[in-house]
Amino acid sequence: MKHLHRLLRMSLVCALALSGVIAHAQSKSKPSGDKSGASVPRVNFKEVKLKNGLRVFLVEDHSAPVVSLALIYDVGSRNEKQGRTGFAHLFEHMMFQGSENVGKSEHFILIETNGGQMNGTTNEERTLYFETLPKNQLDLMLYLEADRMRGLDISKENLDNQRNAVQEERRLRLDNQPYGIMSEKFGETIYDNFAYKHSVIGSMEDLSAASVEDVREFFRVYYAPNNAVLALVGDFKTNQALARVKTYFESIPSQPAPSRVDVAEPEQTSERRFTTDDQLARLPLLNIGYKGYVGGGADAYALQVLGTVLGGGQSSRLYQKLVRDSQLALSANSFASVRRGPGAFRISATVAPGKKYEDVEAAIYEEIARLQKEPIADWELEKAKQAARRGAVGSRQSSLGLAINITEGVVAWNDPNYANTRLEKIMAVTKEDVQRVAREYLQPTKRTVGVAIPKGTSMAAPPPAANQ
Amino acid sequence: MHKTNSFLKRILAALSLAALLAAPILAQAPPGQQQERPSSKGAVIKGKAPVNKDTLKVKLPKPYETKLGNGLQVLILEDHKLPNFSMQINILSGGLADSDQEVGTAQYVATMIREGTKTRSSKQIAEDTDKLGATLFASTGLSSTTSTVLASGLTDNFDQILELFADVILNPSFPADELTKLKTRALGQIRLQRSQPGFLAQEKFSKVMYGSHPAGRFALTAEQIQRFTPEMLQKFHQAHYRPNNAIFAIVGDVKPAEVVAKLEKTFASWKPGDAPKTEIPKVADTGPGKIYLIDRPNSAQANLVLGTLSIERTDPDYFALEAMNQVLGGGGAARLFLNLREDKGYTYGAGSGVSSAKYRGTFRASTEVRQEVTKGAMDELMKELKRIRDEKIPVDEFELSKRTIIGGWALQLEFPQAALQNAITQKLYGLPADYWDTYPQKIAAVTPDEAQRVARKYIDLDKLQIIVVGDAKKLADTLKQFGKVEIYNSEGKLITPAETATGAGSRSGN
Repeated sequence: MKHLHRLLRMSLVCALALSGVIAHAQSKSKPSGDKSGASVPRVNFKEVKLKNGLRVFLVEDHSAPVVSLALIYDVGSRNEKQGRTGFAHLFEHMMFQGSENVGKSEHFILIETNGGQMNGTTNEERTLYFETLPKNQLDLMLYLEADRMRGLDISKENLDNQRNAVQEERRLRLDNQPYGIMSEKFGETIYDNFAYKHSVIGSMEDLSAASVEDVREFFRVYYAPNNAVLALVGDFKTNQALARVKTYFESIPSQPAPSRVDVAEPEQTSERRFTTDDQLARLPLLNIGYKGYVGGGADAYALQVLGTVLGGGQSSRLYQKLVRDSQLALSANSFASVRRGPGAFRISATVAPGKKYEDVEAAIYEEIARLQKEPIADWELEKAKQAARRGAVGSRQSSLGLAINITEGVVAWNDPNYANTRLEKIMAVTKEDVQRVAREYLQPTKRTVGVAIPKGTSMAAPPPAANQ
Repeated sequence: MHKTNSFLKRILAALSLAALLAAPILAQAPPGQQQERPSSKGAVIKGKAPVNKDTLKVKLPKPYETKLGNGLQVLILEDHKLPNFSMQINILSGGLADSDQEVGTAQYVATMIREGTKTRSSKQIAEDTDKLGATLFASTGLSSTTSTVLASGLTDNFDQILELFADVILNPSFPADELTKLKTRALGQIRLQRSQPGFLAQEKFSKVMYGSHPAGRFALTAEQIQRFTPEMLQKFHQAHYRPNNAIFAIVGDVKPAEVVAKLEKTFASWKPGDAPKTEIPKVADTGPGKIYLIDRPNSAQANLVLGTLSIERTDPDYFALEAMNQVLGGGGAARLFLNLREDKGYTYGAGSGVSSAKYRGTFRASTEVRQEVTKGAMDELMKELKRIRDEKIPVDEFELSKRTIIGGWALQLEFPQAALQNAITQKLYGLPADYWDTYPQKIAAVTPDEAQRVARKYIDLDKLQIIVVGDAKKLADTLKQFGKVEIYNSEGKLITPAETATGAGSRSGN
């Protein structure tokens, strides 16, 4: 098995985060009130802003002889132009295709053959690059990141090569997967503003249209030190590490700040529905989303608790009712997506063989009505809070996890301690808050419903599986 | 499960990295220039980045070991960095313990222990787990030698989580109504699985590698699912879930003396017994190589899997195979990736791996490509398999590649559960006590000659089995250029035997 793991790790090179959910499962802080005991201390970091505007965070951690670097550029698919969907992610791939002093693919060859791990990942909000190495390779990681922040060596041939890789990535993750198209179409239906309306992976057509000139321009506008946040966590002396960071990064010139993206959504006033024929699926899939809240707002935390109560884990209402009791669904879950712009409360259920999606949908609405009518149970609130504590602690297990948390928090919320902040906010949520947000946001007029209907030849099989 | 075994540590005598990087290993043919060596266009090495040529010498921590009065082996690894812990019990019987007539019993036992105990209903177990912020699950593979029950959480909930963990291990009640529900869910799940190309490929791969050997068990059929009864599960549990047939292991913010005292108390009622020993038959060689095409209409890609049988975990060739595979397909710096992705642009990922167990494992190379380039991808895969057999790996390339494993050893220190898992593996396979301490040296000591020897021995091209999942009408003719093709539908049924395989007629209706 372990070798499969390695294969998996390999296949993630330049992975793309399709989920579009940022930094929502991490934090550390003390619980307030409840019986839950241990607190999670704040991270002790040093923050420095270099002359060129690069924000740097350093955390000394001598628990293992390693060092991790996370570097976020504040650009994601929401910054893309019409006709260039998927470009932020394609660009991320180009960051591994060479710069002045580093050749094509040399970046990951150097990291891997020195015992390290690395990747890049893009979502709606940001583009993240990271690496972990044994501590004696600190200079290597700083050099590699600084060299490609300074400038890229872009060729048409390399762009064509990575365009192919990214188009295969789209096929692998979307076009060749059951329900892959559903996820893209859902985003296109629920959002009105182009910023969030299109998928992170982008259309084949737009990927084909991307040019070397587009790559140059994107680099110039977004890949500047003043549009980036860097975190370094690990086994070093802070002052020495900071000096190295300055040596490598401080002379990179800053650029005019990119213009801000307008992500505002007009208010939704009626339900939206669509069905999509899925050639690869064998069972229907139901997706429901409620739009109307913003990531950083107070209600977003109560909605996260609501998401856990309704559809998180086997004790959740959806699992117990739809999957275990009535057996209408094979799986059912819910969560509140959190991003800087408008988020969505999402519910998803795979319809069981021989059952109707209409019945699944009705059962989900029944559970929502119950959440609106009655307060949740004490144990359900406790469950959500314990899950938040657990996540907060776990997010610090590795130097890389912590480095990423810090950069995500700063870019999204200007809060390096967002992890602590989030836990505090979740711990402060009351049963009344949960009921209130259920009433306010889970309204039919704010709803988008998508259904994937199996249409492949494989559906020839009879619906109930009992006597196959 | 084997989390971090893939990176390793330690001294590699003074390698001049700068010199290595300048050497022709990953080849730096300038873009546009045709090259002889397949991976040469995938990378350009400028060799200017500052590399520290030393590798860190690290030693992984070892767990405290003891045995309870009832025979339960206990491994405890303290790690106080964070207030959390993870514990598991490995029952030394898994899916392989089932007879052919009762395939899957071990798996259903593991799944069902969360579905009811003498004092808790399925729902109560779910609630108790979640309100403690805990993780609790149990599993075994159909071809595994062990079953694992795992629980983790925050230290301040340790006592309650331990109680819950012990309850599902000691007192499962296998309620008939929950078993009926589980079967219904499982019958739905096996339909969902058949829509996944990766599932179809792996299912066929297991079958082709192992035939009727129990190691080839991969997924249950509806008939097999239907025949489980509470009595069957009870019987398996009674026989195999015994303290003297188990290893308990914990890592995290705990103190050994306290843990042992709590375990003695919690597991006091667990009585030893004579668990039947799992007899594993020898794995027979596969027949001559063949191509198995699984028709998945409307596929957007072809999944290509090429493989052979490899070795048992304790085989002395283990290290040479590992080191050889690292060069061929062990990551983003390996030949398959640099060739098929970075040079040819056929795929998002390509790689290879060696598995090994108490029975012979497999060597397996795989990639997913758009169907139009299937021929090109097959050509390159075959070229790389031939090259690693026919040409000795250049010393510079080999030293760098081994450094991936040796240099990465230090990264495991961030994940103490990796060290604990190593200790469990050492016990399960009866490996020497210093096995993990000497692992990096053993990788370092592999020579290009040995790597070539094991490549020739195990990547036996005459026995190379090729599994392809995709749209048969687009792929059949192409694949016939590489050997005899048998076409199956996605239910696993042979629809076109090798002799008459053609693209046309491979698909009925649309």
